[in-house]
Order: sequence, then structure tokens, then C-alpha cells
Amino acid sequence: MGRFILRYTGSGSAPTSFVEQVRGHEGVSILDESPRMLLVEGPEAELQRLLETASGWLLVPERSISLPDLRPRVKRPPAG
Amino acid sequence: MATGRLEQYVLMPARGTRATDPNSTVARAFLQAHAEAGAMRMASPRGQATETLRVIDSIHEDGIKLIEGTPAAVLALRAEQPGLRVVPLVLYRPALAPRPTVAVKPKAAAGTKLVVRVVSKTGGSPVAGALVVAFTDFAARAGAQGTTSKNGEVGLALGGSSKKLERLYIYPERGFWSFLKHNVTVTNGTTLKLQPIDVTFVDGLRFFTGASTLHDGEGVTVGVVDTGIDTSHPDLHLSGGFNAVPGENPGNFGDNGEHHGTHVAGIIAARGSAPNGRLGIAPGVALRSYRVFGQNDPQASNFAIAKAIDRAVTDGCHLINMSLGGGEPDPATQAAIADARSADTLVIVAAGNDNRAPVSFPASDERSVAISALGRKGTFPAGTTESGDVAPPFGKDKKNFIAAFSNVGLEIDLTGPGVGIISTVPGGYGVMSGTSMACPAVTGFAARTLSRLPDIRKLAPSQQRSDAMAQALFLSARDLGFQAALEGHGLPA
Repeated sequence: MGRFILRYTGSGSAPTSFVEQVRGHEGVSILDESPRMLLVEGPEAELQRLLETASGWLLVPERSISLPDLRPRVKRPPAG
Repeated sequence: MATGRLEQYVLMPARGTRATDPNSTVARAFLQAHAEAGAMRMASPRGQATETLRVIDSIHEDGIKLIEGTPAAVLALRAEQPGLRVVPLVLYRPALAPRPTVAVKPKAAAGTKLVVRVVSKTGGSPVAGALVVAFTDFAARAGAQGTTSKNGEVGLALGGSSKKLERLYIYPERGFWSFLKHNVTVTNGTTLKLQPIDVTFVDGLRFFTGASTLHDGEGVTVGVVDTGIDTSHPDLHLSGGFNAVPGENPGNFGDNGEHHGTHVAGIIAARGSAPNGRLGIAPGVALRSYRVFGQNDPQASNFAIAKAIDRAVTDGCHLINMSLGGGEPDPATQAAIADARSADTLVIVAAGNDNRAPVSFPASDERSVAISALGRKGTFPAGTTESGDVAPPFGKDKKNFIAAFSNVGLEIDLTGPGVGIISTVPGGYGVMSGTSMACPAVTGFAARTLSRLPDIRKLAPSQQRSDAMAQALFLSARDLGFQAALEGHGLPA
């Protein structure tokens, strides 16, 4: 199980038929959605299989970046 | 004029492998005109000279080409054809397993804490909420740190009542400049004094951007994709926004507690006046907040970022400011930036703060406008952390420098002031440094430029409009005398 993004790369809004297919797929949960994307949780292999039935979709693992921060931080206590 | 080493690049349409999009007629004509191997000539944006590239191979007459030229020639190509992508040729190698290394085991923390007090240089009032970072060994990052209490005191576990420090940093939340001292001995009860911010001080932002008026940027909508913007700050007027963080209230696009987005927003659009406030570069813009960092969370997901970009485009933002980045290129964010650019929105992105490392993603995306950080000696007080950001080479004006922390590379399009910048934070004004600050400075310049060009704003939403915006911005820039990899086209005006 993992969290993934399904992003529609075609023109206009994402086709509702595929979105409904994902929504009804056992073992896959939609966590959030927008007109061209779904944030889903499920096995990657299942999601890859789902994509075989649709065109114009990207499957991308969800990941995070950190807020830029230039301040140096202490990593260890002083010696001695 | 050919300057610099010849390198190979891949020249591509903005989207896909062929310029078949109906909005990419200019790009298609250019690619078709260079369908065969041979020379590709264009005027240098920095002078009268002609820069020459060579087409080595072409996949299709209106498609991808392998080209060769100097970085200066590539810069000229990008200025002339902002609707095309130019990416360095990448040669892949076998992935070798990393060698295991032994990690240094930290010793047990010392029990006794040495208490220091942080106060205002004028009046001696305590400074609460300041981060104090004390290094006994900077290279090993050994030392202690803590945040001052309401009476300005912090206990540091340095293992004694007196300690020699290699470096002592203090980062106040608001109202004061930072503090940096090398080779200093602190004892229990040491008092450290911070210089209060004077909002009329000529910092890097004011020096390089000059005076603003409340009308600068009128007619332009700017989206700030960040940690949210303080909705109650008296000097920030928001026209709306959206919280793209999954699971959070979409209507809560205010500051998430990190202050970063509020500082960024003020650089673009603060509407304050002395003695308590100041103006941003383009106070007349319609300012919108797109929050991608969760409440008190310093992490943002690629989903939230892509969702925020999509929403900003739908909301009619001409410009999107993204003072964030890092990690490997992400296809979801790339797709959102490509959609924004082909719709009509220019995405301006900070290059990153990894000490002259390559430009980070998504600034490195060819459809982004990538920004390095510029500094100037004399625009921050002595004894502040900004003094550590000065590094050669210096510009035509020897007081100017590209910040030591700024990432650099061929992808840099422009530079903006990013060292010791005074701007809005919740509860007042604070100082921050980074390409995060340089980026909104350029976004502010872009808004000023676009505001003066209603013909571009009136173009139908298309990549033609975002390309025209990029070109106008690039052409407004002046060369400060750094290499292109440090300043791109230079500082916009």
C-alpha cells in the first residue's frame, strides 16, 4: 500500500468514467481530488492495472519537500 | 560572440516531443526553420553580437533537436524562443552501490545548562522567541540550541558555565536583525544584543528595486504557493486563496505558523508605510494565497503543490510565485507547470539554497523561470548572519555578489535581491535571506512589467501570453556582470 497521484495529462477536465472506476475499485481509496488529479491509497500494482484501461493518466508516488531554511542546526552535543 | 565551452543540449517544444499544439506556432516555425543539421544564429540579449548554435540531429522537423553551443548562446536562444525548452544532454551511467560509512556517535548531552539573555540593543527589552544556535565545533555541527523565553533567556546544554564557541547565531522571529559572532566565549548570564529593524533602512530589496507606488502591479493577479499568508496583517491585502493540503479546510489559506509565505507575500505586495511598515515591489497586484504546507508542518507534498498550481491557473493568476523546491524532478509538478505555462500563467521558482549546487527542482524545469539570489555589501548591518552570505565573484559593481547559499546553473533565468530582506511576518516585520526572497522580488518586477503592458494582458489565455510575459521580463533585465550561470539574463527592472 502506498499513496499515489493520478494526474490527467489530456485536454480539459479528467474523464469522470475513469474517476468512477477508481472510486469503485476494491482496495483503492481516493483521499483527495481536484479537476485533473486524484490522491489515492492502494497497491501500486493495482493502480498500474487500472491505468491499462485508461489513456492520458500519469501515476506518480506522493512525496514531500521541506520548507527552505538557511539556519544551521546543531546535530550533536559538544565534545567533552 | 562565442564565450564559454561548447556543450550539447536537447531543444524541445514546451510540451511533448513535437510542436503540434495550435498555440505553439512561433515555436513550430522556429523548429521547422532548423529542421536540418546546421547553424542556428540569434542576436545576443546582452549586446549586438550574434550567438551561434549548431543543430547536430533532429527527430522530426517540428520536433526535438540535438544542438551544440556555448552557455551564452543557449541564453540567447532562450531569450528569443521562450516557448521552447533547452535541457542539457544527460548521459546515464550504471548505478553503483554506495559505500557504507561509519556514522559518528554523539556523546551524552551535558547536564548543566548555561543561560544567556537576548535583548534589544536599544532599550534593553527582552527578545522572546529567538532561536539561539551555539556551535563549539561548526564543522561537526556540535553545540547546543534553544529558543528564548518571554524574558529573553535560553538555557544551552554546553557542558559548563563558560564555553568558547566557534560560532553563535541568533534568529529572532520579528522586529530585529539576526546575529552572528565568531570565536566568542559565553558565560552563564551573558547578555546578547540585537539591532531593531528600521523599516526605512535601505536593505537589498529597496536598493535594487527603488521606490514603489501603491499602483505598481495594478491589473495583475499573483498567486503565492507557499506556507499561507497572514490574513490579519494590516499591510497585506489578500483578494482570496485556497488551501491545497489534503485533509485541511480549503478555506484556511492563512499563515501555517512558519511565517515564510507571509514574508514572501510582503516582498511582492506589502502596502505599509513608515514608520511602521513599507511597500512591496508591486503593491497594486491582486494577491492570492495558495497554501501547500500543512498547519505547523514544514513539509509540502507534490500533490498539494500541483493542486495549488492548477487552482491558481483556474483563478486567473498571471504569475505564480514558488519559493520552494528540492528533490528529484516530479512528473506531477512538471505536468502542472506545463499546463500552467500552456494556459497563460508564468511560474517563477526559487533556485534553492544548497551553496552553489545545481538548480533544484522545480526551478530546474525548463518551463519555470528560475531565480538566483543577489546580495549587496552595505545593505545589512555588520554582525548579522548575512555577512556569511558574501562570496566572490563580485559584479561590475564590486559591492554586488551572488549569495554564497544560492544554487546556480544554466537553468538560471534571472536574479533578484535575496540577502537580508525586510518584509512582513505575522505581528510585524522580520528579516529573511534565501532564493525564497529573491524569487518574489522577481515576481514583483514581473508584475510591475506586466502592469505596464496591457497588450500582453489582453492576449487570449494561451502559451503565447505566458511566452510574451517571459520575454518581456527577460528583456527588461540588466547584466550585473556575473556569468550567465549565476545571474541568467540579470536583474529585471
